[in-house]
Amino acid sequence: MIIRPSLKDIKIILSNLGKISIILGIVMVFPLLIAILFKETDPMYDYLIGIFASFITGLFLIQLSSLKDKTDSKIKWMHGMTVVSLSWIMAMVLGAIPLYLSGHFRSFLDACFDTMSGFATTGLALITDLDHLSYAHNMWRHLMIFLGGQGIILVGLTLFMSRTRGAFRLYVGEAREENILPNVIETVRVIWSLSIVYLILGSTILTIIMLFEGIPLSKAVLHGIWIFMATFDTGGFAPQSQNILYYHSPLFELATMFIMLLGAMNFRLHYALWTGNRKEIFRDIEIASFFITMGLTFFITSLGLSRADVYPGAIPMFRKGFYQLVSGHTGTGYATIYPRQFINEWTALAIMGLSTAMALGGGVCSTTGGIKALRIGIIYKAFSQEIKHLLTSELAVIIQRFHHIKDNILNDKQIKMAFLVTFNYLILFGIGALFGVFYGYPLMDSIFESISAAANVGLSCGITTPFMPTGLKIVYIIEMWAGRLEFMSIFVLAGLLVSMIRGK
Amino acid sequence: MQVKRVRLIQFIFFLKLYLLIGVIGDMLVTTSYGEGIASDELIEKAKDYDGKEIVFQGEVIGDIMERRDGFWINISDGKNAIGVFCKKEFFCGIRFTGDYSHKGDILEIRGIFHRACPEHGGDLDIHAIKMTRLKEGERIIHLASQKKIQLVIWLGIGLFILVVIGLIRGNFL
Repeated sequence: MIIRPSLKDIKIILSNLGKISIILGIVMVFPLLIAILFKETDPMYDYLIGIFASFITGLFLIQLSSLKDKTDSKIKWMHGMTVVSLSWIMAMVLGAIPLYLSGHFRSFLDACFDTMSGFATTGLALITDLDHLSYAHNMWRHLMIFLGGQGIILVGLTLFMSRTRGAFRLYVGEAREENILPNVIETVRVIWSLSIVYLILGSTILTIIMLFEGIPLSKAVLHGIWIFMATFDTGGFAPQSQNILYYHSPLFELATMFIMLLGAMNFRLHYALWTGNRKEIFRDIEIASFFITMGLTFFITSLGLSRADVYPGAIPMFRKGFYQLVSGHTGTGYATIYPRQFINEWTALAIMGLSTAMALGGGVCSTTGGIKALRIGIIYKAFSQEIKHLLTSELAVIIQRFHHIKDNILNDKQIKMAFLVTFNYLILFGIGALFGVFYGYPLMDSIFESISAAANVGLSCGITTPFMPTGLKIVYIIEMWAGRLEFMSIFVLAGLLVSMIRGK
Repeated sequence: MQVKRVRLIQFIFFLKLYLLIGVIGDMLVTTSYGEGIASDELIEKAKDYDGKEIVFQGEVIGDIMERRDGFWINISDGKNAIGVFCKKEFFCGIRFTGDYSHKGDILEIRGIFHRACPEHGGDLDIHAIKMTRLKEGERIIHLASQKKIQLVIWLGIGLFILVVIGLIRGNFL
């Protein structure tokens, strides 16, 4: 029997959504300050509207729920998952308000597309005339990536949650499976502390490179911060329409590549490194899996590019091929070639190599999307165990071990979850590609773009433009949302909706 | 004989006329081929234009990045921006570059197009051999929209009412 959610359940969900809405309003103060600092009057009003709209929504939801604070201790799994999935939709709509008011979008849906793309750290964009966008709006676009990469709920947990039981259910709902420390609030603080330290270090390095490459100081500082946010959080937005190609700098490409790789690493590994446990990097199955798949996909891509006869020599081919591959595998989406060059100049083999890399993604508990290196490692171990089992006596018990932070024995639950999530991703890639073909795009282009959206990568082969069909924009928004949250909280939301209609 | 001669003269005349039209037409076509090729065309048919001298027109956006052997600028024709590398001897003065507060100078670049430049790591770029400023850019003044100001006031009032209700009901965060 399906049980209809009670009024109290709904109130708990609304109350927590209200808090997230208020947090969003608070975060919008950052672009507002940039607008004031650079005397950008019109964007200043855009953010005042966004802040007021977020506060009104938040307070209204809290009033509606009539629940006092400290409701977090009552959060059950169903509440946590539903709050997470709805928070992302709400953040998309509220976050799109100032962007739409900027006048750089053809419709509100386009602004929602970019907002979801930002929060989900995808990087696909429908913005027009990006090169004339204000500093304030650019700050918001990149801040969305920084917040979304760590997790919108994570911000909420930092500010509003004090009790760990409910907090953990929200934390897991946002596709984070692993705690760095036993206490989830402590885990959240570690993630933020590491991110802030990296932000300061990374943006300083990028700023110095930009100064060296001839960009004036104030712009170098802002671009440094924005590019770092979008690189470390594997987002892929850039302040200029040419993306990374704008800078014409091999040094800058090298630095962003290094930051992308850092961003693709599990926060638990970062923590291990920062606490002096440097051997972890050589022992962890996730790192091994990530670099092996990167090597294999780069081999395929290089083979494809060598047959394309586009690049004059091995160095340009390596520079272009490897950069796009690292960008794709880490789910960043930064590009140093134009979208149509993938289709016009890369061979099908090279595109297949890159698409596979995009689908695989980086580490769990990182900011990347896609299937994730740990699951690939587990699937490999499961196959290996099965083959060993077939080759030895039927009575033999084969134990498969792997190292991920600590030594683990492979169990059925891990295998089941790895296959389940991988299967869901493959279905999602397929559905998106099917819609692409339905709207008249070639199969290869449709597969590429669908993987890019669902695995939160952001590389485009030219389908994603403001002129693409509205239906496809909605499909890609859903793909970005589902891909970022790794399905479970969305399935729970769907279950809740069904139980509201059919439950007793 | 006379008629034949007249016809021959007519034939030669028309032949010359056709040839002249052909030559002028060809010149016109060649000129339009060179003048202001769109960025979409350059990117879509990069292989065809690779290594050829082309003319590209557009607004300078972003920054003028000075390097050891020249300058990098980015020119946007409204659809895409393309990087232009210009040696110091070909560089004409740029007054405005396009950003939120400025409309950049409109330049005409005559240069060699590369779909994968061997000198610059495989970038799609143009190496300028002549740079002409067609139109000077200007400062853009963004006036705050009255509708936005009114909306801010109304939302502010709404927020104030909600806060007051929340305080009265004791539901305030």
